[in-house]
Amino acid sequence: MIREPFEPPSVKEWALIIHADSAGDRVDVYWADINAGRIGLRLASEVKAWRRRDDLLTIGRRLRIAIPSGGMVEPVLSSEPDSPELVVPLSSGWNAFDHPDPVEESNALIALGRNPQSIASATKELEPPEIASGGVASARPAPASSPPEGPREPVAPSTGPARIESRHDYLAGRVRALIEHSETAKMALARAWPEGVSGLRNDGQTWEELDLILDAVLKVEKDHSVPFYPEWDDPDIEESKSAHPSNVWARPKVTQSTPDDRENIQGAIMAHPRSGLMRRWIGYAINGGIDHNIDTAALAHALFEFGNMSETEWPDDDLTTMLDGSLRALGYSGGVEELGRFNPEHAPLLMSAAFAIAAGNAYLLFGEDEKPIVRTNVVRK
Amino acid sequence: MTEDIDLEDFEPPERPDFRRVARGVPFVLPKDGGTKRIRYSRSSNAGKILDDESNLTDWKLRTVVAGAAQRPELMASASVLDVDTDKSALREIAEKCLVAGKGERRSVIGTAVHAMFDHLDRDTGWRPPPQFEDLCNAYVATLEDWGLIPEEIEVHCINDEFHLAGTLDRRYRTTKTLVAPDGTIIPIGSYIVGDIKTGKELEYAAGSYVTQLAAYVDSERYNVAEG
Repeated sequence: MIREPFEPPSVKEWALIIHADSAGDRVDVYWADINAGRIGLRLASEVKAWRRRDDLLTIGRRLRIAIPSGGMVEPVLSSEPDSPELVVPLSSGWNAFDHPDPVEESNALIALGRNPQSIASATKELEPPEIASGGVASARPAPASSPPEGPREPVAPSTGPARIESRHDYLAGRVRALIEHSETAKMALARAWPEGVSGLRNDGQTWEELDLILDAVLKVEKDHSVPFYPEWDDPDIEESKSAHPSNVWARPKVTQSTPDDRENIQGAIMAHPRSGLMRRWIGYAINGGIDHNIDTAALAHALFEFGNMSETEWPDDDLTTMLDGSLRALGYSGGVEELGRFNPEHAPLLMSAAFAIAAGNAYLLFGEDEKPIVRTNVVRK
Repeated sequence: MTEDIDLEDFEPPERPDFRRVARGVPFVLPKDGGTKRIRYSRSSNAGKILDDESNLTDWKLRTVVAGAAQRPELMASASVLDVDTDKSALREIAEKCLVAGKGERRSVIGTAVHAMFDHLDRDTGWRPPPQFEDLCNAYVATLEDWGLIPEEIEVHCINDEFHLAGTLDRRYRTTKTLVAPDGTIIPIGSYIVGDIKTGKELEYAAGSYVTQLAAYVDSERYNVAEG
């Protein structure tokens, strides 16, 4: 038997400490309270677990495009505002990428959204019915600058010979720096070197083998306090950046409605339990001097989508904050106060924001001016 | 004086120990009968995380500085090292300064005293050196006074609940009735866990001592020869 209980068992509540002061000639006996010791064991266990926590501090970042060499988009952490009840949790599996909206970068924080393809389809589903008769959307000023030209497909960085060679050379330099750092680090690297992978004096490693070498180097650097070595200057990164969806702009479809459609949506709003709230929003548009010659049905549809959210989950004030933030994200710096100059072309975007909020896939942030801004990914077609 | 003590003179016969990995961490077989070893922490360190070590740190700083004053050649070596990139070299120098400041003296003597008491309890016929004769006699007298017979000495044990492994100093059998501070009667013939401490004062580490002893009391015997 490797383990066996003590027989006869020890006294369970008390133990003894025999204290011999080695500098003197005195021996004393102390009683040790074992119940107190058991509390200590539990406490120590909790303290250790607490010390291991790595979620105590979260870095706050400004809007930044980060496209690593793998072609995937890096998750971005964000600082959160002091209004947790208004923060919609970010769904797992979402990526962060630049928002192609016309918000000025200095005012923007972070855009969070799911992959462009699924957003595109979600946006499509939410588009208001397209009708033939005449909108005048194009006559209204767009809230920001013109989009860049031409959509491009994202291109995954290659693992072709040129890129492998570049990474090989980079790793060789990093290994040299490690070896020069200390003999013990050099020995440690020799021990940690991945089995079956040739040394960097020779070429011919695969991408995966270079990954293994990098893992070993990182471990040894950490264990031996090797000074910081610059990151690899990936030759594909510029290409990857240029191919990123953030550089893609597509115009929203013009939305136009029939009198029947307008009547239907008005009827739906009036019959809705949150009719009061929706009429308040419409009041912002009217007070803001909305042009009645343009198609307002699309805006009404979008506001209806917002009003449709669960009252339990979204009290009126919170929902208005989300609408306010969504409008800011679309470039209306005054939020709901600017509904009077709402461009109907933006209605699908506002609707998709409502959809994302309802699905828990949007994020509320606060800009430097402490105004709310909602972030969801929107790909314009 | 540290120099007067040769630990080999006092060490008890060599015995098997836990299999250990880096920094002496016990590497034990799991309780479920599996063969893949797992790392346990040392029972003696279980409660250290709760100790206020500010006094210990303060003492170490004082002692290192006092030791450095005795070793100008070490200071010369340190003067060309960088505090961020030459950590291990500077640590070695600091340890040498600690020794020079006689910072290790007490722990060396403490280890020796531990070994002396082992000899006495194992009744090996060993006789203490003159400078420790009074202390050894005091230990024997104390055991007699309390009616404690050392039935088991240096027992390897393991606490699976908290993943702790260590060596319990003693299991004493009582030959007198003992009354604990809360009035509990410990009858004659009971087995009580005992730990020998040789520090100057116990109070600074009282929390970690009782935590260590609780880990022992709730542990099982572990056969290091097989595991």
